[in-house]
Amino acid sequence: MPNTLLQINNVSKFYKDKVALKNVSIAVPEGHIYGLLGPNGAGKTTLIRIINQITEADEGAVLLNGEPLNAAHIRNIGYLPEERGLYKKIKVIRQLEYFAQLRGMSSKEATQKANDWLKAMELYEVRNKKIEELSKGMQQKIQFIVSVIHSPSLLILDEPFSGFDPVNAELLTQKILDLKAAGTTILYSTHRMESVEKLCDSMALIHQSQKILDGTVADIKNQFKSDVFEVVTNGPYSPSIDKIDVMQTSITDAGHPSVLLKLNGVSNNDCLRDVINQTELVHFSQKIPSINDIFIQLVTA
Amino acid sequence: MHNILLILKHEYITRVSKKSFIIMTLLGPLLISAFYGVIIAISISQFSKDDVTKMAIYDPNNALKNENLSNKSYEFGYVKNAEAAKDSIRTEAIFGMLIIQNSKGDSIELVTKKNISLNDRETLEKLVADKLFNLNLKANGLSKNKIDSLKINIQLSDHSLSGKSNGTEIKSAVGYVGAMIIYFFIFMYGVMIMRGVTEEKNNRIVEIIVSAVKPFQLMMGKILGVALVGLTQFLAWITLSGLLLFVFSIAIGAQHVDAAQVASVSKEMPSEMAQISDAFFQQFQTLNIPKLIIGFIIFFLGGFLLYSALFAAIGSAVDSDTETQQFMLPVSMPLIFGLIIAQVAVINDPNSTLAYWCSMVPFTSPVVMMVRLPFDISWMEILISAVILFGTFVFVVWMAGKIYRIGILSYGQKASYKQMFKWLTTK
Repeated sequence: MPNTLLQINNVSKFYKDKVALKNVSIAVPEGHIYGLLGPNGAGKTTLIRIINQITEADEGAVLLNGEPLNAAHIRNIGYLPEERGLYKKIKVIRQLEYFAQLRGMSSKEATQKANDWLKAMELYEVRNKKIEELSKGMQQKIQFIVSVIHSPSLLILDEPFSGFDPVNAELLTQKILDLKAAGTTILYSTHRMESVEKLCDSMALIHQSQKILDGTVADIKNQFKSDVFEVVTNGPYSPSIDKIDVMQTSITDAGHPSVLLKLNGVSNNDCLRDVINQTELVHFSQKIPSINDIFIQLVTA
Repeated sequence: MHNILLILKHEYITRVSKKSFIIMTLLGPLLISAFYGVIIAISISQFSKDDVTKMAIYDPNNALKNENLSNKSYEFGYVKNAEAAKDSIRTEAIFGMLIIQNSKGDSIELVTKKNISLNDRETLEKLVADKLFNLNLKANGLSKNKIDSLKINIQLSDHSLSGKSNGTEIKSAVGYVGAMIIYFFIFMYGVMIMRGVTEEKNNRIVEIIVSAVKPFQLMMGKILGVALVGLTQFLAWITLSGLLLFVFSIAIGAQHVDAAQVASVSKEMPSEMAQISDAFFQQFQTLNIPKLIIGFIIFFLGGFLLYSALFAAIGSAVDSDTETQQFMLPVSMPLIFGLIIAQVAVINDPNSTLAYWCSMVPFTSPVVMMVRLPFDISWMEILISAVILFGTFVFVVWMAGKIYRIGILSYGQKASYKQMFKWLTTK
């Protein structure tokens, strides 16, 4: 197990009439892409703002590399907020230099890095243009550069793919993977689950201000796939073995009854026999849930 | 500190390199001098109007003894028939008619078709009164020259204990002009800062910035940066105006006036005028110029910074420019109040209790202290007022930073005083 880069211990945040975060604890391993999942309004952005020191937690502690969060950490953190914003009337290159310097880089370093990144993101030709003269996609890419220009050890991306066309989304994915390969730890906040499976090593699920699940993506999927089977039959079937739980019943497109079963330790063969005793089997498969399924299952439960 | 400097530099360069700033800086002195030029030109043209106003005098009792009242601007003719004269007024052959009943000067009427200006009315009153007065003198066997020689004109030349002239007029003028400059710059640039803050909030840039710097640093850098922009513009205007004045006077001097003419003009200058200009230079010498300049810079900057911080706080609390109105009023009130105090209390008595306290309260002190400054205010008083002013400034920036930090992150929430107070107390 790698070191824990970011440790969040029992963090709570209260606003006057609502609880934004309740007793949330998360450990983000160094070098991982860590998915922070949850529906809108679950508290993801609040948590991210606490890590960015924009607001303070009312309870609990946040540790970066084992130290309590402090002002010196600002230069180790990169942040791409969900709400994008740049100075519209300022030239691209000057904008990048300014933000890089605010994150503690020298002016010379900032210029060097800005040019490197502009080249890497295929934006070098527009370096002397004002932001308002650029296309939306270009602006998004520049926003991304702003968050990574100072080579942070922790990069926080809040819905990074929103507003990207497929081509640029692919470019962005590649850059994120490159950063990971270079050792950057990435906290990836989203409610788009399919991208989590593609990118993330581990994840946490936040729902109604609380963390309801965390771990590596593989573990979570194993945990949820272990016992659930889909059974499609010709006639109706209800398990006669007490331990088997029916999770969901439906009718397939072809008109066959379908049930999702949680076996709870009952062997596959025992279950199959039980089915065959009652009706004709059409289809029997182990349900490998997508993160999306897990998410929906937990959130709507 | 490093961050404040970075933000300051960014704000300064961004604003100074804007086209609108460059244009305003170059055009400002031109516009201001054009403005005053037009006013001066109009008032001169009014004094030296060439057309003569024709007036009739109906004097049935011969109170004026047919004396000639005409001068450069008025031509008077006596008429016997008032009704005929009224017809002439109707056809605008003459402007109006004076009906004089007796030599006492009561119940004198003026008949005109158009309304007469206050200025013209006074001129006519004086003309007739003077003439009647002279006639009275004559009737009583007195000569006008004799009376004039007996009249005594005095002008108090007030001196302080040190024996110098007090120079009250010029002190009032200098103080008031300084206060006006401070007042205008505070408003012009205060609003600029407010817009800047609201714009950043609307652009959602703030989230990136406040994740990198403390809101206090952002506020401070912004305010100091814009203050420098204001100072730059102010100095540029003074330099340009001076240059303009210099070029202008050379151009005029070369064309019209040679030294001999100047000499002859000054010889012809009436003794009163000479006295006035003499008095002006004497008064001018009473000004403590270094103290004035230092004081002006302190209170210009202090007032500017304090109000900028207040304006910035407003900018961070609202979502759009239109919403700023309700907060603008209470913020600008003290400043306007200060200007009124400056006009009323300070000019009357610069050392009155009201004047003293208003020059200590930080919200009015920039304006009020500036007006008091020429009146030999002690350095100690200036220092105390400046410390209060700058102390309040730092406090208000801290407060604005707090409002800012919460305000920028709460969109769509209607800002109210209650809300703002809550933001102040939020962690």
